[in-house]
Formats: sequence, C-alpha cells, structure tokens
Amino acid sequence: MLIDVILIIALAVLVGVYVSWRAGRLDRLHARVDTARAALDAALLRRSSVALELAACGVLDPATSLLLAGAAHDARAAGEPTELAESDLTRSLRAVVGQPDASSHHAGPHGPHGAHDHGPHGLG
Amino acid sequence: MRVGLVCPYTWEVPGGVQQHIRDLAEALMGLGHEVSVISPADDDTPLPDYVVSAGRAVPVPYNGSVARLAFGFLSASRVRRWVKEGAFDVLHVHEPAAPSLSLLACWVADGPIVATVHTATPRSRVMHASAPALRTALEKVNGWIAVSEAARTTLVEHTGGDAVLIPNGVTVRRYEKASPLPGWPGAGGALGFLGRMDEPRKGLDVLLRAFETLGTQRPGLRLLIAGPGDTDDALEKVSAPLRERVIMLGQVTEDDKARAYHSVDVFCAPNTGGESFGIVLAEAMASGAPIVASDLDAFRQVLRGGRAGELFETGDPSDLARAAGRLLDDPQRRADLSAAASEAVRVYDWPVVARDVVHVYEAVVPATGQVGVAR
Repeated sequence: MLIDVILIIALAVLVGVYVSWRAGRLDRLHARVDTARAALDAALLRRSSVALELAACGVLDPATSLLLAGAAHDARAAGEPTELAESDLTRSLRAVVGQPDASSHHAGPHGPHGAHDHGPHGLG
Repeated sequence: MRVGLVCPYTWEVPGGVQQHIRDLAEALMGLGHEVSVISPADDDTPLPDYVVSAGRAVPVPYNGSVARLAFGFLSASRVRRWVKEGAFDVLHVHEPAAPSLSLLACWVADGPIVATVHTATPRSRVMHASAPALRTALEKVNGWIAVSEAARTTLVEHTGGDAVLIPNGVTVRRYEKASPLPGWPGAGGALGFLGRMDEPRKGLDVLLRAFETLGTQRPGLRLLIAGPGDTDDALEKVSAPLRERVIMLGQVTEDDKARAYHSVDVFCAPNTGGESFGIVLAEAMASGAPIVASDLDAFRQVLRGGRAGELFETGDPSDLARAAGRLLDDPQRRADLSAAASEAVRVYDWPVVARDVVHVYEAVVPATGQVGVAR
C-alpha cells in the first residue's frame, strides 16, 4: 500500500520533471524562432530600404525605379508569411540587376530630368 | 503625320492594350499617316512591318502578380534609338504609368507626347514612393487620353491634369461579315453570350436563369456561350434536361468570335455593372446581331436608348426572358434592330475613333519641331 503511494508519487515527480524539461526546451526553441524571425524581418527591411534608396537616387531609369519601389513597398507591407515577400523582392532585384548593361551604363542614356530632381523624399 | 506608338506589353500576348494599339496603328495608316510601333516582343515572333521590337520583356513581380515588362537601360537605349531614327511628329505612349517601355519613352524623348491611360487603378502608395521618377517623366506629356471615365478619374487623381475621353474603337469590318458556325443558329433559335463565365458582373447567371424559363417554353432553343472560365461550374447551374442545349465554346480566336456573333438569333449582354463601355456590345453591334442588354447607363448610351437593341431591367432574369422571347418571336423586329445596331456602331468604328485621336495630336503638335531625344 505504502509502496504503491510512493511509486505513484515518484512517477508523478518523474513525469513532472520530464514535462518541465520539455517545456523549458520548447520555450528556448520558441525564443530562438522569434530571434530568427526578427533577424529575417530586419534583413528584409534592410533590403527593402536599400531597394527604395536605389529607386529614389536617380541613377536608374524610371521604369526600374518604379519596379524597385513597388517591390520594396510590397515587402514592407507584407504580413506574417514573409517568405513570399522575400522571394518577390529577390526576384525583382535579380530582374533589375540581371538587366544587361545595368552596371556599365549608369551614367548612360538618361534624359535631363531623369538623373536629377529626385531627393530623398521618395524614402519611407 | 509621322506617329510613333509605344506599346508597354509584349506584342504577341493577347491583351486589350496590344489590340488597341494594333487597331489604332492600322486605322491611322488607313487615314494616310505614317506609323511606327515599338513594343517588347519575343525574338522569334514574326511582327507586322510597322512594329519594331524592343527586345524581350522580363517577368517580374508587379502589382501583386507577375507581369512581363521591359525596363532597364538596354530597353531605354533601344527606345532612344527608335525615337531618334523615327523623326516623329508626335509620340503616342500607352499606359505610361506602368514600369515599362512607355514610361521609358517619356523619359528619353522630348517634343510632342500624347499618352493614353487604359486601366483604372486606385491611387497607391507605390505611386507616392517613386513619385519623383514617375512625375518627371509624365510631366513631359502634352496631351492625355483616357479610354473610359474610370481611367480618366484615375488620371485626374494621380496627376491633377485632365484627359480627353476617347473610348476604345471596334474594327467594324472585322465583324461585319462572317459565316455562322456550322449548324447555327438552327431551327429552334439560339441565344448568345460572350465574356468571362466566372466573373459575376458579366451576368452569365442572369442569362442562365432566364434560359431556364425560355428553354422550357421553347424545346428547340439553344444557348451559345463563348469565353474563358470553368465550363462545368456554369453547366451545373443549368437544370439537367436543358444542359445539352447549352453549348460552351470556351476561349475563342478572333475569327471564331466574329462567327459566334453571327451564329445567334439574339445576343445577350446581361452585365450587372462595372462595364464602362462594353467592347463586347460594340463587337456584337458590328456583327449586326440583334441585342438584348442590361439597362446600364453605358449600354443605354451605346444602344441609343434602346433603338439599336432591347434593354431589360438589370439583373432581372424574368425581364430578360420576356425581352429575348419577344425578339425570338419577331423576325422583323430582329432585322430592324440588326440594321439599327450596324448603323449605331459606326461612331465606334476605328477609323472614326482614330480621327478623334488625330485631333489630339494636332492640338499638341506645334507649328514646327519634331520629337527628339532628350539631350
């Protein structure tokens, strides 16, 4: 009888220890997920900021600027599932950078208004 | 006049803007103007001799979907060369707010520029974010055209300027003569519908419910439906005994579309709203089809208050059934409506519409000077 009670208590303690160990582990994992997500968000925000800045600085043609600004805006406005926003932004950036001559022509054929006039007010 | 038209989307992909530009270019040439079009195009597609390729458009996320657009310095320099060599009297860009060739053309060119806005888009924050780049390019536009009141409203909101309203045209001769599809309309009579099946505003549901009544009353009556969408979904709404008399063509070619209009006794436009002009209606009129249409403002105007086609209470299947039934029973009335429709559609014929566009050109072209490239 007493043995039974002791056994049950011992079992309860064991289960309790195990559960609290799992809970602690889960909590730590949760914290790690949160940190990782925050880092991803920060990276996305940083990338979209750079895209916006690039769009507004006036070295690119207006069509590319418009595309970049749109992609950056969409990335920022995206809600929880950020993978889509990330890959869209990546696709846009890749399309822009992958354009032939984009790097060698940045002082190339632009109109008199194209290269000037845009201040940093496009940001944000 | 030497006119340079700029198309922002891939030439061979079917689309309203592309079709508009093709029809406009051909109508302008018909009026004796010289026309060159620059458009993104795939390398291996044969282009009409008035179209110059600006290279391939690149698929890129834009406005919530993936669009094929032409941007970047290579595209810009191709447009620049085309403008330089074209020595145009006027440059006419289409959909210049899209990040593609038209916007680039505004950017690289100097001189008389006319722009046409096709789609109505709500003012977005994207427009704000890149406003300076967009604004400086769009400020060069001397004359604006909008194809619908909604597009015009968009333009007024975005730029503060106003636009001349010139609706889409229809190339009447393309629809005027066509042979009916084999076996149509048939002795029992036929009704017709053209448009997206799964878009509620096109009103297919209203027509299907009217067909329940009409089909039951008239054992030989058939219904011909052309347009993209899920055929099974649509057929499910028809009661079983009538199902075999509803024929779905799905998406049709330009030629089959004209033939479809000629294959029916009564063409139905049961739209429940949102139609600014109704190009389908104009095509049906050009085909000389007797028409029953919803009593929407836009439709009433196109159908001259009911003289060029019957109007029924918008969204009311029994009124549609009544109006269509009356027409099916009255061949004389159908002939009269057909003649009136063919007559009324003349004002929407592309050569006529193109003349209005030329008036806009004339208004912006100064006595001297051509379109050149920006320094």
